Amino acid sequence: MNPVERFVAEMQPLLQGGDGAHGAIHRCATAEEAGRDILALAEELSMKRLVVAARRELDAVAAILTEEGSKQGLRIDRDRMPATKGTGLDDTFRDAADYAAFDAGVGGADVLVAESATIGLVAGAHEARALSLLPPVHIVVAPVSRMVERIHDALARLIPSPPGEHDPGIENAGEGSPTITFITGPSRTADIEKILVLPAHGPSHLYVWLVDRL
Amino acid sequence: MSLSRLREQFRQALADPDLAAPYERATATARAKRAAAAAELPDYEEQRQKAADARREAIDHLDALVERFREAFTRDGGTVHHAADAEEARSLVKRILSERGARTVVKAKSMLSEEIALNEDLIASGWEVHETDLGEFIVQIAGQRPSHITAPALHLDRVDIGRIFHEKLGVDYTEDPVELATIARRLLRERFLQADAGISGANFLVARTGQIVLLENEANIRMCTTLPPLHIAVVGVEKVIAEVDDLGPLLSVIARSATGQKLGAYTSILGAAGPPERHVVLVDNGRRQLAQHPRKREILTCIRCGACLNACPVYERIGGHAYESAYSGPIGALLGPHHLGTDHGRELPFASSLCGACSEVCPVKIDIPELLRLERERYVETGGADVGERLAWWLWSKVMTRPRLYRLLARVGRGILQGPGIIAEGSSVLRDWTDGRKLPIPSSTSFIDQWKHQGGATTRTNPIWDRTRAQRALEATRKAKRSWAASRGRAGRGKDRKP
Repeated sequence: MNPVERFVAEMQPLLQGGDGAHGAIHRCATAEEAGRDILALAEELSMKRLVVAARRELDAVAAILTEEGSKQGLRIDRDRMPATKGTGLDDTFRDAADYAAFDAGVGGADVLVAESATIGLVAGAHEARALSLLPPVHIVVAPVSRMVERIHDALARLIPSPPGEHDPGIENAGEGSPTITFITGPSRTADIEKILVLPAHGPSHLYVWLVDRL
Repeated sequence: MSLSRLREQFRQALADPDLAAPYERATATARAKRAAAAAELPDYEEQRQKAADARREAIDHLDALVERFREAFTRDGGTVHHAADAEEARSLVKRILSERGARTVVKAKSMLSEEIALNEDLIASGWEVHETDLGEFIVQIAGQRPSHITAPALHLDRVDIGRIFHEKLGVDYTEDPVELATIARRLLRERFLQADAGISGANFLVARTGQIVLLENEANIRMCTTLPPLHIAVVGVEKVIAEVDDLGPLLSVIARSATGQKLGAYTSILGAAGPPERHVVLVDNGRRQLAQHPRKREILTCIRCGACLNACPVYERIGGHAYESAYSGPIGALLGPHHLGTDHGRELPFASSLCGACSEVCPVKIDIPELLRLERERYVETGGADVGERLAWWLWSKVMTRPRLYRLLARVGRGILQGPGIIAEGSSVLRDWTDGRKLPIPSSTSFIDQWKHQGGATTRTNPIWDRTRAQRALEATRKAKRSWAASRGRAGRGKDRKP
C-alpha cells in the first residue's frame, strides 16, 4: 500500500461515529474537481456561508466556489494574506470567534501523515487556527505531494532544526517557533461509559480532498 | 501510624457492590485496545525504548532543559514563572489573572491542577472557572473528583450523568450520550467565546523551541488556547523534553497506550502564534528533590497515559477515589507519597499486588513494582511499620538464623496444619486463603528428614544452615541500608520525614 492509499484507508474508520458517517475522503486530479465536489456537498448539507483560508494554493478552489456558489445561495468569505509578512500571530483579519458564524471552514494541509491519516497545519496568516476549529464542518483540500509516512517525518518537515536553517516552505508562517495542529479525525469524546460520541467541542464532520495537482 | 486509614478506604470500596463494574468494563476495553494498537505498530518496542530514553535524558538534565525552555519561550514573547510548591503556583496564577483583569476562566483538563487544587482556590477567591473536558465538566458540576487520569468520569454511568445534568443544569433528563455531549457542547461553546483566560496543563514542553505540546480528542484544549486573549499553562517542571525529535517516539506511544488510538484527534504544538499573552507556570512541588534520587527519579518520566491504571487489578477493584490522591492507580501509588506529604500518601505504595502488569504496559518503561518496593522500604525505615509487624520480622530473623529452633517450630507448625478443619476446603479456619487458592496439607516429615532417610549427604557448612554466614549476610544488608540512608541525608533529603 502506498502512502496515499494508506492515508485513505486509515481515514475511513476515523470518520465513523456511532450515528453514521462524519465526513468523507476523496482523491481527485485538479482543484476544479475539488471545488465542484465542495459545491455539491454544500448544497447537500444546506450550507449558507463558507470561509476559505488565505493560502494561495486555494485560489482556484475559492474562485470556483465564489463564482458557482452564488447560484445556489452560498456566500464565500475569503481570508486575505496581510501585505507584509506577519509576526506569527494568526487570526489577523478577524477575531477568532468570528469563525463560529460559518457553516464550514475550507483549509489546506501543510503536511499529511499516512500512518495515522493526520492533517498537519502550521498556524499563520495563510490559515487561521480557528478556521479548522469553530465551524461545524472542516474541509481540507491538500496536494498529495505533502504526504509523508510517519509523524516523525511530519515534525521534521514542519519544525526547522535548528531554527532558520531551512525554510519549511510555509507561506507567511511568521517568526518564531511555529504553532502546529495535527488533526486526526473529527472532534470526539468517550467520556460517557467509553461510548464514542462525535463531535465533542470541535468540528463534527471532516471532508478531505487529496488533489494530484493543486 | 498504621495502614488503618487506607485499609478502611479499601474495605469500603470493596464492600460497594456497584463500584467495580464500570471500572472493570472500561479497563478491560482499554487493555484490549492498547494491546491491539501496540501490536499494530511494527517497531513499537523501538519507539517505546526511544520514548523511555528521551524522558530519562530529560530528567537527567532537568535544570538545563528548563532554562533552555525558558529562553526559547521568552524569545517567542511568552513569560515563564517558577513555582516551588502548590501554594506559590496558585498565587502566581491568581496574580497573572488579576493583573489582566481576567474574571472568567475556561480550563482544559490538567492533572497538575488537581494536584495543586487550583480550581478550588480560584473559585474560593471569586473566579469563575469552567472545566471544559466533558469528563472533567461532569465531575465538576457533580462536585466530585476525577477517578482516572485520562477518563475523569469513569466511575459514573449514563444514568448518573443524566441525573447530574438534570439536577445541576436544569435540562430534561436524558441518558443518551450523544444528547448529553450536545448539552455540554452548547453550554461550553458560549463560555469558550466569552472567557477572559484559558488555563491548561501540558503533555510536553520542548526545550529547544519553547513549544507547548497538548494532546486531546475533544478540541476543548484548542478552544482554551486559541480563543481567550490570555493563555496560562500550569505545568510540572518534569514535562520538559530536549528536542522536537523526541516527540516522534513519544507521540507514537502515548495515544496508543492511553486509548489505543494512533494519535488523538488533536495534537497541538503551541509556538509563537497564539493568544496575545502567553504564560507558563512551571511547578516543582517536590519534583526536583525526587529528581535527585538515583532510582526514584524514574517516577518523573511518567507521561500520564493511564495505561498502568487500566492494567492494574487493584485499581480495577477499588476504583480511583479510594486512593484519595490526585493520581490513582499504580503511578498514583508512586506519586502520592511525594506530592501529598500525608501519612495516607505514604501508605499508597501498599495498594499493589506487585504483579507487574503496570510496568509491562508502561510506554516509558517505568519499573513500577520495584519503585513501589522502594517506597515501602522507606515507609518502614521511617517508622511506618507498627509494633506487631516489627516484632514479627524480628522473630522471623531470630528463627531463620537458628536451625534447631526453626526445625522445632516447623515440626509444631506441620502438626497444627495437619489438624482437623485447619486446611479442609470450605470449613477451613484459613478460609480467607484457601477459598481462592489451593493450600496443600504439609507432609508429616520434613525435607531434611526425608533426605537423611534416603541416605543423602548432610553437611554443617550448608550455607542455608550456617548461622555465621546468615548473620554476615544480614549485617551486610543493614550496612548497605545505613550507607544508603546516609547518602540521602548528605544530599539534603529525608529531613522532612517523620521518625
